[in-house]
Amino acid sequence: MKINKRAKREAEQLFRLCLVNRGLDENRVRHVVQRVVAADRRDSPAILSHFWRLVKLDVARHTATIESVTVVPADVQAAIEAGLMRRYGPRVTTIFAYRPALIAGVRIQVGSDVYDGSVQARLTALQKSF
Amino acid sequence: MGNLLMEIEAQIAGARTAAARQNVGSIRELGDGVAKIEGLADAMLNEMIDMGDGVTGLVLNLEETEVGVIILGDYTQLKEGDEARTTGKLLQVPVGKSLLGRVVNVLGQPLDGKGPIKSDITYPVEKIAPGIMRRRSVDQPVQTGIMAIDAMIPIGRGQRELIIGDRATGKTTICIDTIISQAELNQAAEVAGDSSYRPLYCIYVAIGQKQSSVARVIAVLEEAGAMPYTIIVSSAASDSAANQYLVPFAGAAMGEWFMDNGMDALIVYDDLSKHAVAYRQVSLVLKRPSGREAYPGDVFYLHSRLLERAARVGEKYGNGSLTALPIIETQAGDVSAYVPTNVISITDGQIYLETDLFYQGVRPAISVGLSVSRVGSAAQLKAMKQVAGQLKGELAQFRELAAFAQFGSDLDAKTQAQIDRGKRIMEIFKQTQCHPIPVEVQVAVIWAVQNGYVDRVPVPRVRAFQSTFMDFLATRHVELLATIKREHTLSDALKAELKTVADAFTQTWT
Amino acid sequence: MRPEGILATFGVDWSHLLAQVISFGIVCVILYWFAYRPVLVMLEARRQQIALGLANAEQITAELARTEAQRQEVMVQANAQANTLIDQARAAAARVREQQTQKAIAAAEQITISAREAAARDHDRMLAELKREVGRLVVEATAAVTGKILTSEDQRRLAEETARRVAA
Repeated sequence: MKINKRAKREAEQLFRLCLVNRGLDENRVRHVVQRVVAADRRDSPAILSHFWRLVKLDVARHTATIESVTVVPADVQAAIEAGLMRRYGPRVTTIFAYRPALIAGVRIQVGSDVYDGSVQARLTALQKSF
Repeated sequence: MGNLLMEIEAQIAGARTAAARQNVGSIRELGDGVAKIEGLADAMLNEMIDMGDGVTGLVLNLEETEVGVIILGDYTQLKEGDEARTTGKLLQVPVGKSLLGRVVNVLGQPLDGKGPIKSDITYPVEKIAPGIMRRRSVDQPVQTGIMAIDAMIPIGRGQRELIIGDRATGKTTICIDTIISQAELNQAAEVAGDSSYRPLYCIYVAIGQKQSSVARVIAVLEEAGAMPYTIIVSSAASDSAANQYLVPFAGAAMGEWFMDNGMDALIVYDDLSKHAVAYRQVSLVLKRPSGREAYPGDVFYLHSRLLERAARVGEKYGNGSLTALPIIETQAGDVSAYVPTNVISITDGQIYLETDLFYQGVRPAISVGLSVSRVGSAAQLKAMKQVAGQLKGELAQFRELAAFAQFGSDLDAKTQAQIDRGKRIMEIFKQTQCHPIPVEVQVAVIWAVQNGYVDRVPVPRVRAFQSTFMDFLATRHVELLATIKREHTLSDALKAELKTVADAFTQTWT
Repeated sequence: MRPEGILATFGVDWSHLLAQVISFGIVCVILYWFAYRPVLVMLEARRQQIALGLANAEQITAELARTEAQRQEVMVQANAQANTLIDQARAAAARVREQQTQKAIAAAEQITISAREAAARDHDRMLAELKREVGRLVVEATAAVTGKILTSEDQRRLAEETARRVAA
């Protein structure tokens, strides 16, 4: 969908309104979405689409996905979460996922930062170096 | 085989260290050689991005939610959602003498099938030009081997001289002749073991040219034995606009290595009009605002930062030089269009080629009146200055009087003499392509013209006279030429010897 | 005898004699004036002409000798010049021959070098390919095997390493 400049600007304005103490307030987001749907203007879908994208990016920046093959022991989990919070602030939420392709080790992705200690990553790097 | 196993074992051992933090993003939009990537929060401007499968990208646009990346390589294998990661490195190309004799693309990868380039040193493609204090004034000549240029529009090492003209007027030919002339001089100095002569290495950058044209250039240079002193950097018309946009900068990086290491280099950009068109395409796809003739607003900066990198640097800063010969193709002789006026104001002079002169048979079709070299005779051999100082003025007078001559009116003897002399000078400056003339022979020929030895020769036979005279000098008076070359100036003794030789020749010539 | 008687015997008459002497004298004078002198003048002129002719002939012989000498000199000079020209031509030909020989030698060397380089390049390419294949096999083998042999201790250790990286 072509999102014109005006729709983008309005979506950005709405997004900034949802920011509270530099954090995204879920209630405000829901409220905004309801109001825009109810207003039912011609460019509502465009505004909502861009707004959704901004929210998605913000959420991604503050979500840490930790992928592993086996269940990560509790103390290691705690250590990882503590490290993430120190680096990215208290708003970080952690999600633990299962990914057998890693063979062993843990891959942590926060937004666009990736900490890949898995065996698969090392093997891929080794193969590329040949 | 033992080496091979050790290498493999070493690489496996090295893989034990885990990777550090990486920055990744995913492709949101892809088209026309440009990818919009979400993520990549740490990307810097002009950083190299690894798109996977050996494809590299270059960051050109940094926006709030995404990064605009131009793809240098085969972008048909990429798709939306693919992961891309930063490399933390600026775009770099391999540089050094191992590139001489090779044909490479914008990333320094070989295109001639002669094996990989062995080079340890890389230079960044985008670099800030040398500052004011690092430069030195230009006083060493570039002997192009083309008499019209060496006599009247001399080029110095470290100068930027624009070659501008319509299509098919001989712009590339002038550059190829210059490269061949440098190769001959380099070879002669090597054979003679002359360590005081600084060889001039050449870089030919083909921007958006037909592949057949580039192949022809390579064939001509190989036949003339000039390839061992030349690097060819090619981004043909079938390459993406991103490659064509970057290739002159890659060539400039290779030239800068020579400049920083006490050597002289000459770089030919063929041509910058196509370069501006490629940059226009890249900018429009990146949705940057367009200006006059749809070129982006910074098309002047594009060429100025490229051409400013050609300079002569001082002894403490590398003691080398990079001479640039950019080529611009005009449409219908219009030098007041946007890109030509930009580049004219950046360079230190221009050589203007006219279609009319070309079809009249004056080849090279150099318009002496409109061409200028702002470095001028500071970059000329003293001997050449002595004989050729008056030429430009004489030709200017001839052009003014030539109009009268057409009417066939009665002219006084002095005017007639000027017209006759002018016609003969025009004949002398015609030259076949791929046959550069050494400077000492040029000096002798122009001396003969200025002292009236050609005045009695009918105009249609002047070229035959000239070529026979040059053969005569080259076969029977080699020492005279060697003396001129060694002493760089025409002493009275040399002039007397020239007179004897010229007299002897004129007596026997029919 | 008396003188007049002698004269009368020989028929000499004084008046006649005188008249004849006078007539003879006049004839002599006339002859001298109109015949003898022009003839003498003509003879003198002719003598002068002959003398001039002789002198000219001498001059001509002398000049002939001189011209002959000059001709010889010019021939000698021309010979010398021709010899110089031939020497110069020979020198030029020797130079050209030398140049061509050098070019031929260089071309032959170039061919050998190119052939050697091509062989070296092929060798390098094969080695690189071999290396790649070996690497691929190593990685595949490791990938297949590692998951099965790593214990939970190893997994824990790897996870801790990554946690340390994040915290650092």
